Amino acid sequence: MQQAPFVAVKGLRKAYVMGTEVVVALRKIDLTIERGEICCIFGASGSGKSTLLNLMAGMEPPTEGEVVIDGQTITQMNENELAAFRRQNVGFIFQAYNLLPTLTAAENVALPLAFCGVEQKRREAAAKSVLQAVGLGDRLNHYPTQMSGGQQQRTGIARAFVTKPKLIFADEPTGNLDSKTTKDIMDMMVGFARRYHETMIIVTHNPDLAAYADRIITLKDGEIINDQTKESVIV
Amino acid sequence: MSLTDLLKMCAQNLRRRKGRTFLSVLGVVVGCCSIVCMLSIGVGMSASQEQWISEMGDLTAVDVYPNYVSDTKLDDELIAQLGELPNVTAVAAKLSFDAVDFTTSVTAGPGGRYVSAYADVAGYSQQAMQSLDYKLLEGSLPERKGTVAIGEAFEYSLTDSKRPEGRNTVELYDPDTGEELTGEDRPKPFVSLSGGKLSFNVTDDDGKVIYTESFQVVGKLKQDYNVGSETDSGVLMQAEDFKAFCFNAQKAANLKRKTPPYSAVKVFADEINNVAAVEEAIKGMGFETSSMESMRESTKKEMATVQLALGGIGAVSLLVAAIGIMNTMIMSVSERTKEIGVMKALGCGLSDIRRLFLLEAASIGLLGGAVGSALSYLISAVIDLIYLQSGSAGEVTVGVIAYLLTSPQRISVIPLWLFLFGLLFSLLIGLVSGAYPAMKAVKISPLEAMKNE
Repeated sequence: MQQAPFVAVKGLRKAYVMGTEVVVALRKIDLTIERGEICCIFGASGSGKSTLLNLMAGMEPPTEGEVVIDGQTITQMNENELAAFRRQNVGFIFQAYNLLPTLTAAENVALPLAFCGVEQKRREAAAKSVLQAVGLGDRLNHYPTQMSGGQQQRTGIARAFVTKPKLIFADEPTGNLDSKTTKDIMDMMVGFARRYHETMIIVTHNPDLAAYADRIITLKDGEIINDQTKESVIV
Repeated sequence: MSLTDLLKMCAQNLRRRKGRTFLSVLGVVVGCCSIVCMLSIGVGMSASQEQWISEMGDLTAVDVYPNYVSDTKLDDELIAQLGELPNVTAVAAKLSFDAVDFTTSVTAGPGGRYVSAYADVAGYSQQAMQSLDYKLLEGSLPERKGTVAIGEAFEYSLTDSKRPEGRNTVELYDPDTGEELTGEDRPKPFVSLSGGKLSFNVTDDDGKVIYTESFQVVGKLKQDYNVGSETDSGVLMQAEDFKAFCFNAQKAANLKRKTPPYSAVKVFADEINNVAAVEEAIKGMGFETSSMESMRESTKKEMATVQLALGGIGAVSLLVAAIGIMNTMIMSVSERTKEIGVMKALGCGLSDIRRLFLLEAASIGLLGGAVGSALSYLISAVIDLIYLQSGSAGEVTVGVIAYLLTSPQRISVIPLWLFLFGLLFSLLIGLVSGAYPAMKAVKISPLEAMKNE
């Protein structure tokens, strides 16, 4: 018997109404991603790659179709169920880092655990060890404004991994970083995912980033135009 | 999220926008002060009204009168029944010479030199005397047999039978102005009865004394017409003595022996709020009643109206403060749109977002309420000082201030309930003002986290 895929996207379609015009962001996407796969959704701006990520993460509802993650049909969940689902299963790495400015690095990393109701001591210990793993053991009590972009993104990575999620979404994770830092960040991110055998979906328009993935799915005008696994990728 | 985490986050957010938080809190402080001070004036007015009414008589006392239509009597049977009523603590039944068939005069001094042709005597049981709240100028109440207490001005009602007509009484009123002479100006009576004796003499139709009995004077009562006329120019004695005297007098005058009827009956309720119920019960027994209750009731209603008007004026400024909180919170929500989006993307529950914003608004309310309620005590003190000082121009010293602030004439009084009301009402205002912004925050999409600007 064949095992069900970890992520299954079936007939996904998304259309926005802009004034009187209907803009179709995703035409009809069918996609499966296996557990532990590091997958890159690649495309130019306007290709629909960000929309695909938003739908897969349950941040907005599709016009048609469904998304099943680990057996759970997230497109049928209400907002509260989605929040709980993200809290328990999903980690996020954002382009703009999105650390809360009132919280220190350690507090930012511990935040998803606080949402889960983990008590403070265990939370702090977990945040500290993850921050040490990303090389920020000496920046625990720094505020986001006191850190460089690379440091902030490493804090963001720590925050995404602290809950040990099954699935990590990264949206242009190095979009705001220079090429040297980009390499460090990507090595760290992908290294973590491989070490903990986590599924990671990276959305980018940068071909350098795509090189880190096991599989590259290329989108154009809301459709998948290419789906390659590592062996066939030409770098 | 746990409450501690929410509180911590709330404190961090309020601290981040210090200036704005301060101004919103200030708005609540002003609003809270205005409503608390306005209500405190109402409370002060009610208190002095109550004081004023209680000075006119015991608020728990109910006078009982016979109903002449149904021909009811004030007798021992009634006294027993009244004593059985719920919420009644005491019954005071007055015996007096008003309803007897013989005449009694009073004499004092050597050879009965000082005479009063009329005797205003009140006979009460021991227990009734206690509940009537007699004040003594000297000595004690007639606690033993054969003793009496005299009214404050009783000695002046005696005429000196050895002096000619016109000069045989001590004049208590100024002949020119007609005003009562008091204090230093008050002349001494002909005779002081302190520690002396009084004789009650029953005379027949020809003026011949047919029975006499003397009593030891053990005390002098302070004049108080709320208690009875015996405190002025009368005599107070025990009911037992009174009855025994009557029986002896009836025997000497060859009258039929009978217990004299009560001339007045007072009933005491256990507390002010039960007076109406007690009155109702007595009326149900076929008697008429009167008390301070009806008067108190109407002033109470009047005060409630005043209170409502004052509270309304105060509430306007708290309403303005509420709008201030709402404005602050809405701005805060729109400023933090991205942050809220990130929190939602990271899996923060909707109820946590709502609680976070409600908590921030409630904190502003509570903080303002605490400062405002505390500050109100100061403002209230200033109001009192201005109000009470306006009458008398004098040097203001710590002593004067302390005196004024404990004076029952204060116009502004903040009881504990008003302090707590100020606190809780401000908290509530905060919560209510926070409801809409919190709802806005809950509606923010997690997609906000994805936007890059």
